Amino acid sequence: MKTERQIALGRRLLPWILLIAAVMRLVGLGWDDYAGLHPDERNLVAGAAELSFPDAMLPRFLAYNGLSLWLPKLAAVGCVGFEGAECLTWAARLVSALFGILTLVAGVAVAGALAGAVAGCLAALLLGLSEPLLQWSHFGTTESAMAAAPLVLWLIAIGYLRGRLSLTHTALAFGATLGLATGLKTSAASFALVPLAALLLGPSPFALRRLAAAGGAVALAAGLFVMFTQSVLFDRAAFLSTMAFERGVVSGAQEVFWTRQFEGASPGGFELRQLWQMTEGVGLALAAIGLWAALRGANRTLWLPALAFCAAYLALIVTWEAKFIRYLAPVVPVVLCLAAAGAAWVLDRFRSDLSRAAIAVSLAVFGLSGISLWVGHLRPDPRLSAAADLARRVAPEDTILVEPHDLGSYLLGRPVTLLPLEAPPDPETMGRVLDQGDFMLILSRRNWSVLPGARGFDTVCRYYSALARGALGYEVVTTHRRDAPLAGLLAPGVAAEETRVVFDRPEVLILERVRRLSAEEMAAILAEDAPPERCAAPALAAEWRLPR
Amino acid sequence: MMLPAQEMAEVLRWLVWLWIAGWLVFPIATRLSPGSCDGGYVLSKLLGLLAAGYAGWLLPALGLARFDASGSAIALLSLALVRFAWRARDTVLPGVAPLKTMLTVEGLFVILFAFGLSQRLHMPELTGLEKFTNLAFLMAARGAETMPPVDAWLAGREINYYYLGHAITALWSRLADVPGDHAYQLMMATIFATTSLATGLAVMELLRRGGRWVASVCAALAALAFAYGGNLHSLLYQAFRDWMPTEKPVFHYPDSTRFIGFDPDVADKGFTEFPAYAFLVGDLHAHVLGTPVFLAVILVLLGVARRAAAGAGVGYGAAAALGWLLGLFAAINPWDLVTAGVPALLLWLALVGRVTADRMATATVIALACAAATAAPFAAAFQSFSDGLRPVDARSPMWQLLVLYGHALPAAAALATLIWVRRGRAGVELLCASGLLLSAIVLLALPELVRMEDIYGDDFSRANTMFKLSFRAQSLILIAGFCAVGFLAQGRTAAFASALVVAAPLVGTLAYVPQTFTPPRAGLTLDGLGFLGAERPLAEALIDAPLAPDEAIIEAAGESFTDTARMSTVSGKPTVLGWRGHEWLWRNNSEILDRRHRDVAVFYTTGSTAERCRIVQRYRLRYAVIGQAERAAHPDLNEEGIVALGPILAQAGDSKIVTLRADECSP
Repeated sequence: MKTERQIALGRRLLPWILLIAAVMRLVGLGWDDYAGLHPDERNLVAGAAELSFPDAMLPRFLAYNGLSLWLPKLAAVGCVGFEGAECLTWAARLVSALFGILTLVAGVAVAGALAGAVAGCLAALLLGLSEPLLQWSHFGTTESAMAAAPLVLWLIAIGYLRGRLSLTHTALAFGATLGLATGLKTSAASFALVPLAALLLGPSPFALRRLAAAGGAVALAAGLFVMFTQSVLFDRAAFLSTMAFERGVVSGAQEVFWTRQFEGASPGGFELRQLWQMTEGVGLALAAIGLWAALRGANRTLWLPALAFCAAYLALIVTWEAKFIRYLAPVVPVVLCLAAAGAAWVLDRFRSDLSRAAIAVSLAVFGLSGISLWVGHLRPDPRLSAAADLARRVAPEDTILVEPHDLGSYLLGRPVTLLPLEAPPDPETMGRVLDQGDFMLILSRRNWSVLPGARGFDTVCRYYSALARGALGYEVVTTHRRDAPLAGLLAPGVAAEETRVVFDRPEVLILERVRRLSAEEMAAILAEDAPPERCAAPALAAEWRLPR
Repeated sequence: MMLPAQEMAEVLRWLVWLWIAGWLVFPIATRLSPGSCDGGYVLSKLLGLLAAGYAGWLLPALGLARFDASGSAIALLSLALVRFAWRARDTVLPGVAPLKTMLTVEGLFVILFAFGLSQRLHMPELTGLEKFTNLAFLMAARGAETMPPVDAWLAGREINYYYLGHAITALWSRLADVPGDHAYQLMMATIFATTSLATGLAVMELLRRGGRWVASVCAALAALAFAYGGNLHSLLYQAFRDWMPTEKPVFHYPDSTRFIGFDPDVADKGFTEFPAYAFLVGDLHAHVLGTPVFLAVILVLLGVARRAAAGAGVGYGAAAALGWLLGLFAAINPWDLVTAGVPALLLWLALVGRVTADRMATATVIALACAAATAAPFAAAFQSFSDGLRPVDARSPMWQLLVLYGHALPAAAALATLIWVRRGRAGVELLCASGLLLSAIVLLALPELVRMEDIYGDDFSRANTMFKLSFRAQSLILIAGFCAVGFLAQGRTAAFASALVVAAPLVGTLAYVPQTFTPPRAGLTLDGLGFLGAERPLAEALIDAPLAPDEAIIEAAGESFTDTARMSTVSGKPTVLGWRGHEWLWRNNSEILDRRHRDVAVFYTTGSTAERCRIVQRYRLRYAVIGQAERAAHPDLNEEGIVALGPILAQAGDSKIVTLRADECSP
């Protein structure tokens, strides 16, 4: 197919791709019936619920900045059909979805401007069907905005470097965007690298006019930040305490459950593996080609602001102990724009049937995971179906054991008993608690994929090894999963960072105590040595699936 | 009449829908069979059979639709859309076959179908060997709304086996509106007829340049040998038994399939089955269901070879079709990825250098991508239970391999000689026939080198590998062998005499015919459930009884090839545990199976209502069977305790099915 035909085809398809991708972001927001099963989102919604005008303007929940809470609050005005926390959850997700659409449009504009119409169309496909971008668009948190902001800044930078935006307009746009981004999340301050790079790459970067414009942009951004994060002024101690806590989590100084999954993770290697998985491998491979083509191409200067930002940002987060994939949100759209450019380069350079077939297959593999996730979000949440299933099985006097840090046990509407997994338990304590139970509800892999391998959790390793084999008398009677097409092939495996799976598509296990071992017998089993490989996440994942 | 009027109507419906499906995909088949002597008609029957089933299965397998009556509609609509779109693009090739071709092929098909059906209905009862297993898959799929279906022998779990062929049969049973056991019989006959036709057509295609008469005779003999013939053992151990070493007093038809390691009886055993045996035995097992796919692959490969020889390169449509067929194998019978992969690879190697690198590479990418896409919905839900390849510990004695497959040797020598004589001028037909025979040799050699690790004991470590590979090798030997006969027969006196020498052992495999041939006769029936005897009313009641998707029945659990699990098998409704040995093979977890076996025993024997109710709740039981198998398995069966849990759904003598009322056991 000649390039002209490709371009014409791309232009015809682009509006449809954008429309479908936008619909995919807006449909599927009720993936958990707005039950608040995403823990970060739940906290955000709770924080937003506490706000009111004019009595309670200062948020008490400070992990997110004020705009993160006020935007859903304002969007909640449009709620129809539900109220309270459900309404706020919907509103938060709607805001995310809209940011997701912004990411899509900005990415298409960037790729089209830098690598041509075909790249723009391919960017629409890649960004539109990207599994992490779709997922974040359905979460009422800030990842979607953090993905959009660098792209918008990059688009402004391109306009400035091409001379299409005046210095004043550029400064205003940079300032406003940065201010809004930091109003959502303080870490967005790192996005300033994009305008900084643009300024340095532009003509006479140290000319007084430009320095003044930069100062104005900074002032605007700072002013917006303060306007949306008034806690900085009026509740500084709490704000700084929260920032210190977050910094401690990130650096590893503050030990929290959610960072145990990163024990032993290699700096850089972990992030690379996550990026590889998030882009189905082909995205990252195409991005590498795109990077090479970009650095050799005529528009090299226009690529550099984003590339410089990504390099610096990745260098920064690689040093962190906390390696949540949400920190990769600003980088993913840039990678996908590079991938689009790489694919377009391959098509143009080789112009062969093989190159077209290879790109088509790559895009299909990439897109299928996003489509599978989206269709899954239209299906019932497994925790809801598991709760209903368990309610049919249990008698009023039965005791249900649950694991810590998993959301969803409140769906049962009855008291539950917590397994003492987090403080490393001794066998006797575990035996006593297990002896109380009649049923066990494992709501996700959050605990079993992390704790057995953590330092000092030998008993937990033995516990899960024995539990999975049925040696403790508890056996899986049913499994609930989100019904997504090809999930068995496309859903992230145990090597994926837990937030890709645990929040929206956990595998829920209902276990019944089919054999009544005594507490002493169970303690004895838990005191026996178990080979570490039997409690490794892949081994447990295999056990939980037998039989499926 | 051969069948009762109502069953004749079922047969007619089945045949009409087969014709419709073939008509819908005919334009594609024509494109895939450029220059073929039937214009692609036989291929269209194969593809129609498969495509209708796959189309009806695909959306439910992706969770996007239900596998119920709408599945049939989706299947046909999909094919109609494809035909419409294809014809809109391609108006050059005919959209329908010439009337003469259609009548000839359909006439042959109906005759073969009648013979195949009469053979199947000689002993129509669907019990014995793996018929029970296959019926359980079929009925589970027929009653399923989602794919994979719930395993009828392990309530609450999905089938973990290559069930697509059974799902296709289930869809056809809905399409033609026939009961599941009738569909079993009709599908066996359909496979008998379509694959015999395809075998004959393959020979005809490769011989048609040399004269119609020779091609027709060789094609007919190949089809006959495929449908009814054995291997060389069948000839030698019947006609020349006195001269052959044997420990057995008389020839029995399985002997030709149980020779290596059985006669004489040694530790290393192998199965050497072939299509005629499979048709006789009547197991609608994975390798049988894969036979239409295999023959379709062969026909498509021949089309690719012809097109490439004509200088038209490799068509991307053919590559996609090949990919789709290979993908089907992954879900029907993955062994055929090897058996079809070998001739495909040989053709690929032959085309390298003859077709542009870009075209070859692109066709390869398309084929592999289509295969992966086709298999993906199955693979997403399947957990492999094989433990990988291992080198073999023993090999078959050469003399026994010669006894089994020596009928291929003269053909091999003839083809090699012809290629040598015509070197540089060997036509594509000769090269294709040689390639098929070479593929057969490779497939026969592979079990002498490697084996797939499975649960069968040491004595049978190679058995399954040998079985699956040699099963297809036999078909390839027949096609290539009769082609060799045809090539020689087209020559002068010496060549013609050589043709007779080559033909003799091949035709000699027809010595198996007395074991397999059953002429059509009146008074047959499609009914496969006669083995239920007095308990049949229970099964019929259970088939029609409502059961929610997460509910189950309970009946006696037992070892493989016993009378247990009969109700779940014939109704498709899942029981707590069916044939334990089979489930162990598919799940590789005996602890869960042991626990279920205990639960079934407890349910039937405990005096404690609370304990029984726990089991009812655990498995969401709706019906309990109390029949002959249950009384035999549990002599101290507590009938009173079970009957107290609800009303009788159906009763036949002492046997009954109890409906377990939810409120009797609610927590």
